Amino acid sequence: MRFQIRQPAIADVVQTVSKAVAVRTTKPVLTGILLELTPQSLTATAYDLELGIQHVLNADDENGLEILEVGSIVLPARYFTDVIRKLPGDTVSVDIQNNYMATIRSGSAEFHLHGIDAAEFPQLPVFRQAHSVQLPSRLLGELIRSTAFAASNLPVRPVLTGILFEFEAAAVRLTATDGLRLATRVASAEDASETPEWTSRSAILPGKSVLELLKILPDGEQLVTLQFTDTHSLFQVGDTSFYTRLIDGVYPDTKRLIPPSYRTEVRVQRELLHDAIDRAALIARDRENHMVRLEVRAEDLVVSSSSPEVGNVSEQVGVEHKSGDDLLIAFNARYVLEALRALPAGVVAVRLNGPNQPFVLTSAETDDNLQLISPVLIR
Amino acid sequence: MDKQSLFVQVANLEERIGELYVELGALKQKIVELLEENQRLLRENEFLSESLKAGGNPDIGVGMGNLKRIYDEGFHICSMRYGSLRTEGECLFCLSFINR
Repeated sequence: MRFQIRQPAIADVVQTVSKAVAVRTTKPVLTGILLELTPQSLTATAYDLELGIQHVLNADDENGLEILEVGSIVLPARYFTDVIRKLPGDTVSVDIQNNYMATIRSGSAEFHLHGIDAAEFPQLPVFRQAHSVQLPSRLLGELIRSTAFAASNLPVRPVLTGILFEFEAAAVRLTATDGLRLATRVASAEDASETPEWTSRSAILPGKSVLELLKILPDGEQLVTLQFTDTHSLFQVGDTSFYTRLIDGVYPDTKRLIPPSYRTEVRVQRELLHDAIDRAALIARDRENHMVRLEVRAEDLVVSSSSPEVGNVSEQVGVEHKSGDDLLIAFNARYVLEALRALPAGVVAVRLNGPNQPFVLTSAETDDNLQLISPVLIR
Repeated sequence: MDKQSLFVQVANLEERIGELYVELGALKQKIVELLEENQRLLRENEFLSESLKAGGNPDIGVGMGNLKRIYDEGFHICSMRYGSLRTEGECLFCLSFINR
């Protein structure tokens, strides 16, 4: 196989797929990037058997791709990505000889890299007549950013390290929880499949993979096609395909966690509440649970924190509206700050049911984005 | 004492401290397991003696009260992680079960 291409174009492709290259593995071929050349295009693939990214580059004037001889090869990602990034010239030529030796030329530099037979590279999952949904890239990014942080990092309960994707009638809902806080966000979606069966389906995607997906999503209205089988999911955005394995298991019923009613509601500007809690957290930052207290008193909201060794802080926050009983509740400041950042700017509603009950943070206008947080009990 | 032997002695000490550290970690894990097992056995014992006294099924109120007590003592009562030690904070799943 032999081709020529502009250096920024191939550097981009390699950078995109390299996120799926296996780091710790016993199979050397998984630490490589598969390059496949057809008469019209160059395809790069990385796949660690959990996460796979494939990018197809069609020859055009911008990328200057010139295909001289078709073929395929697997090149070691650790070296290939850095070599490509640091090449001196504007064009790169890659030439593979019979013994899987790649010659990479650019400017006056010439590299020789040992490759692996492409036949050893594992096949990506096949999506035949899979159920599909389309979402604008920006919206999908927002859905992930509003929820992914709440997924668990601990492998004790594998399903909780995932993000639940649920497809309801013309809508998609993402939910993540680690048992201490829960984030859920719903958005309308278009049915792009032939059959309407995708409604009321759900899938648990690994949180880590979804965060990698976030890195390659463009920040625009470009449509992303989501496809699901029973074991894998595929996200297609432009010429990039992102494959991930699903987490096997049953996601706990999180709907019953969300309190159906509330005894106290406070509406407050998100930035004011966020900044006050952020300041109060300074006193609590060395304590394990980052405990900050919130007191609803008459028409005021008081954020406070104290530590026997460090000192204490108290700050009054102006509220837009308050209804219900007064109360004092304590919580982990880190969880509340992350939840507030996941909500849209503007007025947020804090809905409480007493000092020992989980409380809800949501946008004052809509319940599309809901953040549930468990309290720290004041004993 | 020459420098070489001093260094060797310090290196040996370092190794022993490292081993002690690992041993301490294992011991801590053992304590957690024992605490969990002890709690489970206490519960089982209590349940058995109660059902023996009552001569039938204990009513739901008592069962719920017991679960609440176990939770307050620092153990999960939710189906997700029943019986394991709660180390992080209040569990949403357990709270929703208690409040049902």
